[in-house]
Amino acid sequence: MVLNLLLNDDINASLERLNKLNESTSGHDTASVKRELQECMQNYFGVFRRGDFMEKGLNELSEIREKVNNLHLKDKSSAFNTSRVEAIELQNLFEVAEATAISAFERNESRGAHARDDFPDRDDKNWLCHSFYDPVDKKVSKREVNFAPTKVDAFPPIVRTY
Amino acid sequence: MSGNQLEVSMYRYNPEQDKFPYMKKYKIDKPARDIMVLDLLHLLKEEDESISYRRSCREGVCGSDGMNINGKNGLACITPISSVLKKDKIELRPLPGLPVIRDLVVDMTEFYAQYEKIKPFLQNNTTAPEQERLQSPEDRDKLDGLYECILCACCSTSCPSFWWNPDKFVGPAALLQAYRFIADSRDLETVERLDELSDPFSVYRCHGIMNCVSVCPKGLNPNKAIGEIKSMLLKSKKNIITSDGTN
Repeated sequence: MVLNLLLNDDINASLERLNKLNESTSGHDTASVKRELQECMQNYFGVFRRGDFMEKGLNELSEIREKVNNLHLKDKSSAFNTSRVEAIELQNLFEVAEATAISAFERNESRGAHARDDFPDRDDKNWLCHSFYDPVDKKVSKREVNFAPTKVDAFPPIVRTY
Repeated sequence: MSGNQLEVSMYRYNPEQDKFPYMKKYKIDKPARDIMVLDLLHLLKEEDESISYRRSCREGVCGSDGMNINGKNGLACITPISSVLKKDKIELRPLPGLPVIRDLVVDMTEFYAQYEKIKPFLQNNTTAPEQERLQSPEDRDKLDGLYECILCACCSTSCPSFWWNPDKFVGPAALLQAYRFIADSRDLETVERLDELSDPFSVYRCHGIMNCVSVCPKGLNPNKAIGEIKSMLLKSKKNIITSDGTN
């Protein structure tokens, strides 16, 4: 099933992605690549993070990227095809994983759920900011946090009646 | 068959390829621990990606993976295989009574049409108070056992009356919801709601078979709700005797 290409670049890119799956004759299997991605993220970008570990993880991710771009969709049916959905989901999942990985690698501090063994302390001087990830050049920039004061009045205690 | 394998027999049907549905047998190594039927489906789909089934939350909240497991409807995600295995065999079929789209996926249109019919929303045309419509804790308690329904369709598709008249009999799932709004102190359309259920089919096709109660994965009792509706109809003298003398 090949869909007609439209002029709009974004739509073209989406349709190319879909058509590539629909026309695939060989390539990697969605379930096993998904497992690889899960294991990579669990092992290298889990609860406790370390620069050298994450570097290994990033290398592994770039290998997985090749596979994610070359998935083989065996089931080409258009009747409730969940395999196609899962292949597309895996591709989306990869983008999110990569954004998480690169942002975590760049942030040289520990803050909240981002705990790094090699940078155990919180660093407000350099990192009191949002991480801003650009998927095109795969770079992380900083964006200021809004510190404008807000005030919420306390609820006065009153009798509960119905 | 060898002692460390499971045999899964699955209903397969792809309208683009198959003239008729058929049962396909899969063999799979016994998992090291007790897993859910949905996990088993995931393992099978890794081997054969052409298997289709609905799933979403994998924890019995969304109601997507209702299916017929060894003859009994249930949610695959909260059914441990140990509870359904018979001699290391398991049979998976789509929910009975609804048209099959593919494999374990059924067309829920008729089910939703019945749900829509009972107007599953609060109706109250008095002026809304400034904050919210209040309800006493006692009145709120009346909704327990009713509001928890996740519309997985396990009950309605196990009901012979629903199989017979899916277009006219509202079915246990939607009747439970009908009663949920009838019982709600904030809903003021009680009379109209009962009126719409007073024909020979909507409620009275329920003959208390109780399959709905035995399969409900959330442990609800649609039959009790239907009983309440019936007795309210009787009290409001809306009861009618059907042409064959039953009601």
